[in-house]
Amino acid sequence: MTANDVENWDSLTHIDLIVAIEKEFRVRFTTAEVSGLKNVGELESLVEKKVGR
Amino acid sequence: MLEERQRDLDYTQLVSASKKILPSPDKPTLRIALLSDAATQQFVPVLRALLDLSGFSAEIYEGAFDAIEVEAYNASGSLYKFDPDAAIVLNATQALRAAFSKRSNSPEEFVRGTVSRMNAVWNAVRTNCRALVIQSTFALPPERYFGNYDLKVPESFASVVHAINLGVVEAARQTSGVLLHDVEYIASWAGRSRFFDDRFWDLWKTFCSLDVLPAVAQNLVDVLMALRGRAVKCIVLDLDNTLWGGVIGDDGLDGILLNAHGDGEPWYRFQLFLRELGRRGILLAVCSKNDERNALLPFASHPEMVLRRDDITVFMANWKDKAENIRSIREVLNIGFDSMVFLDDNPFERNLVRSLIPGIVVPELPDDPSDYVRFLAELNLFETATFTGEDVRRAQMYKAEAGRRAEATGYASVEEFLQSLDMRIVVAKFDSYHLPRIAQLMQRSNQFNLTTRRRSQAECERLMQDSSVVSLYVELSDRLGDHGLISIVILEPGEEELQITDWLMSCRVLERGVEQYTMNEVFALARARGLTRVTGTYIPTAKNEMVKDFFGRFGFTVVAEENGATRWALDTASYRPSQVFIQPAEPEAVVS
Repeated sequence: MTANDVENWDSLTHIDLIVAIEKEFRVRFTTAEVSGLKNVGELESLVEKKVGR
Repeated sequence: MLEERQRDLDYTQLVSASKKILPSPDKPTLRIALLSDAATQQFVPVLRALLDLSGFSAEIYEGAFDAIEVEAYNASGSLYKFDPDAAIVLNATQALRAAFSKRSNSPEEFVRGTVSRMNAVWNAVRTNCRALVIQSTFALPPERYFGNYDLKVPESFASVVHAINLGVVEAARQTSGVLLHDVEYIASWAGRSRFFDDRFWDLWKTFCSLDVLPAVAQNLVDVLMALRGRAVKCIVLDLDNTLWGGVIGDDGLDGILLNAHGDGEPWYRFQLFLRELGRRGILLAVCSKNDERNALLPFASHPEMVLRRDDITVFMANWKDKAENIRSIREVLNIGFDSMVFLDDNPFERNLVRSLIPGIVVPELPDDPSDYVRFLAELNLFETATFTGEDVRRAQMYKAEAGRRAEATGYASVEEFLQSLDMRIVVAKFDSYHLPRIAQLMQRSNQFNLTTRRRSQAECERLMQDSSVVSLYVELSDRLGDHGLISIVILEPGEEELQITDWLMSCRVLERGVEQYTMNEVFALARARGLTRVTGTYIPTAKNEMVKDFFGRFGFTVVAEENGATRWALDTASYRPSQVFIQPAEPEAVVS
């Protein structure tokens, strides 16, 4: 999954995206988890893992 | 245009709102530079959105990350090319902690060195550009190395941060071109544990938690608005259930609730807060639906009444609707509705006034009077960029003015009345003593202001020292009292022409000849220097329509027009001096 697949992707900074996702899905990423992310696909998987439990 | 505060400042919503801002040529622009040892990206959209809500469009320069000194000392760098109105210096406690842990000197030397370096940054900025510096205070750290004993140990980080904040405050008090932005206040209000976000600092060097960042930004915007002349000048107060519990007309002196200890304590505390504001120069007015006799009773006779009749500049108690009364109050005080705040416990009255009076600030007071003071504190309505001895005397000056107006009705003609006032005037070049008041009038004058150039105190000081410019202030007093410094005129003499670049006057002294006397002086100066023409400019704003034809009234004619701004000129030889009933305070008051 890349930026092209995401609707309304603009110059949202990385931090705004993390903040929005944490609020929306009620999850919290550790510092290590966030800094380890390489692309949106990985973020998606991470969210699924945290929400899916 | 003082906006109601956003009680729930949400980061995501503000970022979103910042993307929807439409360009608007009518909105004045503020040029602000952000210098920080924390990341500034999160502040930019939030500041933009908050400034937009306050009616300003923002040009924002972000200094390079953690390069405060590099940016400040680079005289030919992009910071100065940007030409900011304000340079905001945001120092993060997290960065300070890192520096403290690496120190090689004693804690005392570290404190002195840090304050001194910050002071040097201010000097560099003020030397290299015209911007005002807005310096943050440090949020006190959440960790303690000795627990409560931290404070007894001067070497603890907590003690060091306290000492640095004190040093910064002391230095700012000595420097007119530096204002403070109290981040520690916001951190304390939000709660230190909520303010700091370690995760976000580690990851992105974010200044603070994004939940609190909007409050930090709003606090900063409050300072910027004060710099632009937004100031609350008057609080209009309801009486029943606002200044005391109960209704004086029904409950009588013994029945209303008002005491230092007991059921009436909330209102007592509220009155103490208001009295303090009155002492600092905010005018208090009363607007109550009551028989005047009843309304005055507690002021005269209630033993626990904090506010006295003397503390109230305009007292309106009658059965007219409140909007009409507030219009009368505004007329007496000659200020804008947007510098007035109306406090009333009754939502019906609040809604009425809010819908009928444009621009007046009407806070939605909480139901419980115990919460009044705290609620008002959170709104931060009383921000200012200046404070002078004249502020404290303002209430007396307005009182004297009300006295003059009352007297005016007893005279056969205006001329007779003006003559009777025995007015004395001083028209003189700027001097250091008057600079604070000069700067204050520059910031606050909206209506009688031809070009609305907001010159900071530092800029006024530069003008004072510039011999190619004639910068004048005007002071007026009369038989009934002292008006203080009420007008500023700045002139640029050229080869043939004398240009009037700034002309502003307090609305307290309209229609008594001050502008005529001053214009006579301007032309006398032009003649003395052999200049053949006097020119001036009018730049229209939302508030200064009253002076649209100011120059026309003296016989000037329009020589150019551009975007509504008009340029006027009059030959020195053609000027006919106006008759005035004002005398110079000293015989040698003519300026050349």
